[in-house]
Amino acid sequence: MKRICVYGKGGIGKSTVVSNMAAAMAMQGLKVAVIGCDPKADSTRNLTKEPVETILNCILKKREQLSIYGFGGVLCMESGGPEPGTGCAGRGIVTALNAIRDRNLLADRDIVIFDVLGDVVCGGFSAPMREKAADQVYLVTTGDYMAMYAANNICKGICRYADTGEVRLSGIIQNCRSSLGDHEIVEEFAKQIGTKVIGKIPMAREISYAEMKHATVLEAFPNHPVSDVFRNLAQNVWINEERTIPKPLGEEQLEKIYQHVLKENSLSL
Amino acid sequence: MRKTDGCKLFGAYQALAGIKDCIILFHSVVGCHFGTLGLHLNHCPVEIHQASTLMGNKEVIFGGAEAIRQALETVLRESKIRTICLISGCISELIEDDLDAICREYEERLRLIVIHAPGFEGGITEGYEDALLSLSCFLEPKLGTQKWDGRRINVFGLGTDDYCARGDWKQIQNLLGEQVILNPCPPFCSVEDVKGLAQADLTLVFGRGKKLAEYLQKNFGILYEVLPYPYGFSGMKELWKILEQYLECDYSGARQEAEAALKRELLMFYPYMESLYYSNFAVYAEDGRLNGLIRFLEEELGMRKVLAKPLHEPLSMQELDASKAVILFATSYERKMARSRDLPLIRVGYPVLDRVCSSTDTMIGVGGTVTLVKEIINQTLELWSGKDGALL
Repeated sequence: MKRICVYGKGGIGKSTVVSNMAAAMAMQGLKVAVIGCDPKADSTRNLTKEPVETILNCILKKREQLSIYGFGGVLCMESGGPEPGTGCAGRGIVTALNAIRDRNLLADRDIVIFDVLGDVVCGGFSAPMREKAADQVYLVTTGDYMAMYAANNICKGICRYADTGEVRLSGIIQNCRSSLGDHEIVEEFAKQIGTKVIGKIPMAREISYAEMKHATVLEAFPNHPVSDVFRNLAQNVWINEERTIPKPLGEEQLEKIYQHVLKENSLSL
Repeated sequence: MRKTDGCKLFGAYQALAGIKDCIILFHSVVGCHFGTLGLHLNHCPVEIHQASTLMGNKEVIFGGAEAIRQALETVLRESKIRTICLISGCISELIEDDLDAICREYEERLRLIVIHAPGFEGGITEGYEDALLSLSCFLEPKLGTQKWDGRRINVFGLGTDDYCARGDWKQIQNLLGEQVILNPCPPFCSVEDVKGLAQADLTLVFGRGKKLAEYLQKNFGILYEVLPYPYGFSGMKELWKILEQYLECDYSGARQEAEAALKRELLMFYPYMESLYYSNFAVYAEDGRLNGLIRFLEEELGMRKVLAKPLHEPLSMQELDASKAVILFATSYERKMARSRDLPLIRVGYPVLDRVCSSTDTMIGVGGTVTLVKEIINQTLELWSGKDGALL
């Protein structure tokens, strides 16, 4: 079973990438599971249409069924967690992962994707890496400085757990939003930290339209070119066995990437 | 290396648990309740007014507000007590449960004070200080020109479960005689008594309670003095001297009486006391007790201090061996250490788990001094007689 977790800055498009990629994998015949690790419990909405009862709520209500099947037979689960400003969401993630493991819910899956909340502010959110739930990490990022800064920070976490576990960085998925020099910046970043860009998701209105209908583009617009992008991404991720311990950049190195690329494009700050 | 010690929560408990008409409500996991109760039962199995929200995984994840509400509703339903000291432990402090909001919810029905006492923020002394200070919200303004009956003082520093604490408290009252009135103070008082702490001329702090004493000085003009615990005749003399200095009392008569009484009683063991001269002692106790004991043992028994450590620092076997102490003054936790080296262990400080005491047993005043000397001699005799013939 392939076990991957997807990290990236909050709002960068992780859940969109994960749900579309999962849909593509399912349509290619794979048995897929998507586990949302976010108290907002919105990772699988594009696959299930309706909000999913979270694992933590199911445990509280003593319900046996912790998951449902979404589009293409994707097994969907949401960890859930407390309302904003209360409790400990990180602890909630750990509890949910333990429940999944104890019930052996993923035994029949070919691939499991953990979609983790953007800001890894405490140990709990690194549980998919630390608790050996996943061994491959993908970072979703744009070329914006703060997105890359966040991605770089997550690399530090990967390094920490790589020492004692099997978790490794397997690639970067670029969400192509507006900024100029996006590709070069992300490619250079990937090269410097020791990985590669495994997929580039173009800007496409169809992605947003599909989300408005609580669907993936694979479902809503299967013939649109962006659906092919996700199919290719799904295939690349499925066959990718590259794993590295990333080399996180210092702040100066990160800034140099921008200066270098902007200069090459005859731009200046 | 840090010493294994009680944490801030335990210190808060020590300061507050003896207050009548008040419930201690721990907002923490079961171990805090179990641990404090276990230590308390050793000394006072009858006065128990504590409860816990028993935080579990659910409260960690979703917050503990609901658990607190359930606990408070239970108090309202099943008890007549309306003052709650809500002691917040590690978990609730980590997840930042909004305890102030809950206090506001219940302020019309309960008198709730919140004490933030996570173990990761400090030890027993910090917990004691902060908890005692939290009682300042109950203080009533100092009466203006009205003179109260006699001179009044506060005394801070005793813990609910300190060995012989109740007896020591009564002994302090005896030592004051009729010239000075001892205000009922935490932990041996009621909530109503706490209101009256500002009606005092002076506060004496035996090691702990300085924060509340400073508060009383700053807000009510009540001066304070920090004193070592009043062991022995030297302790009594210092106490009387301070009262004479601040309150214009005269304890010369009491001084003479105490001296005569001690001479009379201790004459019975004089040969044994002689043999204690220049014996090496090690003492391991809280700051206030440490200095009081050292003074008593050196000045009055002629013993020699070779090792003195405050309780918040670790004490190693190597240090004890290197000191060549022949008697150890410490808590019950040092029993194995003492036994392994054949040292008499005189139990002082907190906790003392392997001795019981009544509400009149004391370690201070004339009676307490005699008891202390007897304990030193008897323990030494028991351990050493028959070994080398002579006592030392």
